Amino acid sequence: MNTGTPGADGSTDAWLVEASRQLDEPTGDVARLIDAISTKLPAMRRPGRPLASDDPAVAVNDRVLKKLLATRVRSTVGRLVVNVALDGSGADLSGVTIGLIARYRDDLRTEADRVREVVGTVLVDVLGETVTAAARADIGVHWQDVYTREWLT
Amino acid sequence: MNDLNHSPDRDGLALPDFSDDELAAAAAAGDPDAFDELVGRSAPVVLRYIRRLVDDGQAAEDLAQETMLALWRGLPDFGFRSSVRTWLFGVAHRKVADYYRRRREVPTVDERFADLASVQPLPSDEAERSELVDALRSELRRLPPPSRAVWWLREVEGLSLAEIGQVTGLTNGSVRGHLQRSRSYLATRLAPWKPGAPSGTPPGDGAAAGADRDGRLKRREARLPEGGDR
Repeated sequence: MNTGTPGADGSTDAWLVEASRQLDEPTGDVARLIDAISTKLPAMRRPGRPLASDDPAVAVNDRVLKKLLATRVRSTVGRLVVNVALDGSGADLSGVTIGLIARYRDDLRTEADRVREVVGTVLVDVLGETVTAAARADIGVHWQDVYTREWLT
Repeated sequence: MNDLNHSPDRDGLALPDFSDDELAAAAAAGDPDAFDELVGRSAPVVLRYIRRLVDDGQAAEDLAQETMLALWRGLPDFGFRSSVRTWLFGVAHRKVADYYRRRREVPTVDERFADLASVQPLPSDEAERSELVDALRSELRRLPPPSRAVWWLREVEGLSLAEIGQVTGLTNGSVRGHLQRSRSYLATRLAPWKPGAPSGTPPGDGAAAGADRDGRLKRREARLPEGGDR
């Protein structure tokens, strides 16, 4: 037997590949790396667009609102939000569009209603009822296919 | 990361259940928890790839950090024309290339396997007393960087040849060439550790070398658990 040749199909021998998978970096190094990344991220965040609210003392920008919408919808509906668009000019908010990844067997109409409900609640909680009235009346929900990543119509 | 991210929702789906690409899309939309999850998955993979190409541990960590921060910056404009993983390896590869360029140690794709013609099926001296994993680590370092990168991306990370071409900027034919020669080189150099390897004298080896190899094999067998090779 020639031990100096790769696998019969030209691939690397399985025992060698298995050994290579043990070349992981020490856990401490990985933890230090992740810590360093987390520390530097806040400084890299883009400045947000200030949004009007019912309470002049409350200052909220679009980046914060997008974050709250994405996390609240995900945790409530259980679908990932892959697009958040806030319509309107300046500090005014006139509409919200949410894009999500659908799963098989999802009842999209029912799920969309749930998403609208969550979005409306977040808008009221964060900015107030009066200033968000127009936006809450114009909440668009779009779905993306989980495999093709195409937007469903 | 808060409990919310790992708590199954009504359909049993939590952040760890989503693919890298889905998490990247969510992170791009503004979900910071999705990005945290993506970093937790990707950082170890990126670090071990860069460590295979850069010997200096601190430099490798710095490059991995730059790569992950570049991911954060680039996400909003990432068009998902390739997988996030391929894109990430591509960024890491370019960071490594820049690192060598700054050090005037640019590894070129034309590097030849000058020493391959004379390799013997013996582990390197440095690894003589070490286990297979150490020997593999040592032998990988001897490969020219492009070959090392190609072998690693294919065999460990499971990228397709086309994806490796995207990451490294090599042509498909060049990727194949690097992969073939790397496989042959590693299989030859690490043959003494191969499960069930015969103890006969390899071609071209003198009796002393053969005896030396036999001794190593006996030492290796002594390290194996009861039941011998897999």
